[in-house]
Amino acid sequence: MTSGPEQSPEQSPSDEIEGRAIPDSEILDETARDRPEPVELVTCVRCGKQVPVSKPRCFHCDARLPIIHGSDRVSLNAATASEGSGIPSQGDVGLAFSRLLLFYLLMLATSLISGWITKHSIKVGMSDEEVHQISLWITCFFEAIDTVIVLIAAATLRHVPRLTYRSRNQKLLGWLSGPIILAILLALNVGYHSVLQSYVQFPDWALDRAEKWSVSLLIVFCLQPGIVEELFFRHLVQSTLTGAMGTHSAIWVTAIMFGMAHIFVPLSIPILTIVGAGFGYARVWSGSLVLPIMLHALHNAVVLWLERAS
Amino acid sequence: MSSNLDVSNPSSQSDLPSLSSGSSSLAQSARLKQLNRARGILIFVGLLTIAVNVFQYVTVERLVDDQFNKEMNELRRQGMQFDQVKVAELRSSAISSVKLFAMGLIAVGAAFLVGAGLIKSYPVPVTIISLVLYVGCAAIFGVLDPESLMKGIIIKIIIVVALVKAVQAAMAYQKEVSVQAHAGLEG
Repeated sequence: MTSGPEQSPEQSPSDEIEGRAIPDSEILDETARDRPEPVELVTCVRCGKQVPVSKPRCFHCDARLPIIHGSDRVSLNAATASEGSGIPSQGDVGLAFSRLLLFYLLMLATSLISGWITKHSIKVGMSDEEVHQISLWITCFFEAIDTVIVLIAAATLRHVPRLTYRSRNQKLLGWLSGPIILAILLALNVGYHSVLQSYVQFPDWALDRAEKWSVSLLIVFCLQPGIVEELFFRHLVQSTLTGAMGTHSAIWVTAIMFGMAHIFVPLSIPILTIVGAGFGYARVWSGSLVLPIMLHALHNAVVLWLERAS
Repeated sequence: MSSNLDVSNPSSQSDLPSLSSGSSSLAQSARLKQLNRARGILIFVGLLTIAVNVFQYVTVERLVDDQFNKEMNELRRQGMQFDQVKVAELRSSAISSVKLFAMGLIAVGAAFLVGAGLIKSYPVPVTIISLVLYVGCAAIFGVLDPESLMKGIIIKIIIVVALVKAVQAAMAYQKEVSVQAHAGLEG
């Protein structure tokens, strides 16, 4: 029990007589009186942007705003509404996206160069072991370059907007949906490639014999892509685009960028776009980047295992 | 977020809003011009992509045979010999792959045409997707045939620059539209 504060002139004599300690919350701070009224914002359920709660419709997408109670309301002090709210101006989004586009083009260029170098390094007559070693080293080198590119991109984008506000229960549900999302994406991926193989009928003898499991294989094909690609696409790109076009559009546009980045497997781009969208929804529903990173790494690990099992 | 105009003081209702709205409409018309230019590019690229890939789909066997003969002649010079059964299997698989790839590119061309129609309604997503698809397809062709990257490089750069400017114009255009919508609701 704390001692009561010094009595202020506003306190009534009866409080002193009763011996009631005046809590700090009842003492008016002069600066608090001068603070502007807090502006209550609500999240539009269609586009995910913040709108004053007094509006019956979202002025971004004209959706009718539902009545939201309790913790889903986000109250911001009007004086700091534009600073800490994570709501960027469209100008900021344009500049940020232009920078991200540049880094995206750099990553495509490194993929192209790594492909050319791999193609010219592999000579006719080399054993499978030698081919795998050379491919792995070249992939390692260029993935290190991609990691540096993404880290520079993250450093140059000083202000990455927050995604749509999620309550604790919503985030928990998002995390619980992780295994279901992974199962659905793997089923779609395997199904798509089965149908593709039945149409294309690529001969088994022409396929590369899968190399053995190793720690470097897991790092290069599961861990690094999981962390670096999710950091770039789901954190930097998706968060930036959400400010310009709403949650669902941002997820699908980011997914298309993710799919098109896999230029060495052009026939798999459609399914990889859907997989990217799955990771995007996992990011939004869980409110965390950790879930899509885990899903991406696990997805790649399961695909590698299935390749060896078959 | 309410307007601070004092209606009791006529001098506060100055000419500045109309002047600013005039310059804003000039900027908006410049952005609309960028979007119209992007629409023209999307229609051109879409039609060209569809035409080229329909031709490739129709002539796929001849294209695959030409490529196979070229590579086999190169390997024969290095002393390699071929199992004709396996070559036939690979040829059949290559024809199916190229047909599928051509169908995919026809779909991309159709996506460009659809984007051209929707660019005014959804300027930001359409311009970004168009740019990503164009650059991605160029990169894929760079993997399959590196020499194709340099063919028509100037036109490709012009198209990419125009699409990038269209993305920036689309974001600014959308911002202006949402600000006007907000002002309309407030008023």
